[in-house]
Amino acid sequence: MTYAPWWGQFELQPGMMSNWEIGPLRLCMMREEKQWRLGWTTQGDPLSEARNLQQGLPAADMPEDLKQVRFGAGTSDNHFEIRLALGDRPFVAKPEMPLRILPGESVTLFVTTPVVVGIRLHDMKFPDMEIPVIRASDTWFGRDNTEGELCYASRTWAYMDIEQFAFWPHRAITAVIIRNRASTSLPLERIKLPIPNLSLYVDGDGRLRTSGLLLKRDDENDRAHARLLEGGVGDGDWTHVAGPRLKLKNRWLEAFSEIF
Amino acid sequence: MEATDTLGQVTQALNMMNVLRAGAVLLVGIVLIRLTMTLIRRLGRNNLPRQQYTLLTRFIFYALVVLLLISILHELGFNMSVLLGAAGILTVAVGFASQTSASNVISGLFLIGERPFSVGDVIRVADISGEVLSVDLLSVKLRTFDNLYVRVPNETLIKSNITNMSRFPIRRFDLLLGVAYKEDLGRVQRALEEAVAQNPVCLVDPKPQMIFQGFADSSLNIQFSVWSARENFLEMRNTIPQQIRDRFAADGIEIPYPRRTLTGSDSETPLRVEVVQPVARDMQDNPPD
Repeated sequence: MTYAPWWGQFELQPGMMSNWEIGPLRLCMMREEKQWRLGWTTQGDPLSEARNLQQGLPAADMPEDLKQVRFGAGTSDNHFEIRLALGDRPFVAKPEMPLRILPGESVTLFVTTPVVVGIRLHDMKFPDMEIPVIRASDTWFGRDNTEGELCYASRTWAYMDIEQFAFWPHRAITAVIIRNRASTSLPLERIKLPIPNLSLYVDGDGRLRTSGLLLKRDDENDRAHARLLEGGVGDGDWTHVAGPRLKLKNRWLEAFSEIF
Repeated sequence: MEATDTLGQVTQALNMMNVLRAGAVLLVGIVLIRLTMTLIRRLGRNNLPRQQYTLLTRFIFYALVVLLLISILHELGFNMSVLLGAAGILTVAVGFASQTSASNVISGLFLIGERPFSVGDVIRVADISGEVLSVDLLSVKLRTFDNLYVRVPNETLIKSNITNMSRFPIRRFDLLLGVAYKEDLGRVQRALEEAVAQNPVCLVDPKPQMIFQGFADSSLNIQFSVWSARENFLEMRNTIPQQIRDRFAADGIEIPYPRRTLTGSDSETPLRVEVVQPVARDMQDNPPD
């Protein structure tokens, strides 16, 4: 099944509004004579599969339960852009149950993370604001409570089969290939994904996907060697949606909680 | 007489030469000090912690100024050995008079060497909490959360327990609460964990932890410990109690009020207390016949 993207360039004439219901996000954009008015809430069901976009509605009062912001723009044209991006911190995911990868073996896990919606008015670089579709819970990933990194916790399990995920329009799927080249098995209870370093794509079915991640573990290092697989993992026609927030500088990652 | 005049003229000429030389030393010295300080600032600004950088630049600046003054006095013909001897005596006198300041300076050097905190950290010393504005030779300046400027002498800091609340990126909040004796502690723990799981600023890992504290007079006392990022600590501390209260109310878990059971001295049975209708005052004063 093919889905039309809910992001990209849009146009609104004065006195008109557009309305998005994407997962837990409800977003209203209204064009008035001398300003844009944006309203949003992310209080919906985090695992909702809602994917509704209504354009060209007559402007009505903004629902009171929405947070609102206005952009003064009397002279700009009537175009604006909805941009997607991945989260600004790494995500930590857990397998459905503790997993041990045997020596010499390789597994592929799939993890989903919520995207961030950016609103950009067509002819201005600023204002440009970002709305996380879900405020993910914070978590800590480190050797102890004094040394490590603040991350987000993925709300969904890491599965071995991509079909175990619902068709969420607001979550991007990351394929993680883990190769255990060490002489001992690799216990996998938590895995940290460098989400800000990944690019965002949409596959032929309309699912949001990210760059793939190849993590190799060996006997010599207590970190995993990471390689990004741009264009994704697997077959299919993927379209680029957004680049990474940050470049991956260090390819040796503390990715597995058990082998610090 | 002529010889005396000639000697006076020579002395005057020499003095003029000394003043000119001293002036030249002053000018060259100022230029050299400025160049040195510029170089040190460029090298140190990005390579040293802020407080060490500030201290180093000040120390070098004053040392160079003292050196310049000594050079100028020397050029003016002063006998430096006598001057330094006098300075030594003066130093002893000043030292006795300014023991506290000297102690603060020494303490300041230890503080800068040990680095228990840096500029920008939030610390607590005795009963004062605030952000560190500067670490100087004599004192540390703090800005308290109610926006007061506090100067804490370095000697006090060296002698006190200092708590640095900015050292580590995550912090733990210990919530103390009591539940009624009838409650199942396993059910209480599940309710607590589920309540904070909905709060995004509460860290998933390290996991929240419930610690049993004891059997109190009216309640089972427990400590519930939750972690958050340092910058979200206040938000977590203010949101968790309401979430737990709401969850307890939804699950029917009771947070008890203090209770007392009264018994007679010769009986284990509690005294029976019965609430009756209040009797009107005029009826008390004038009971019916």
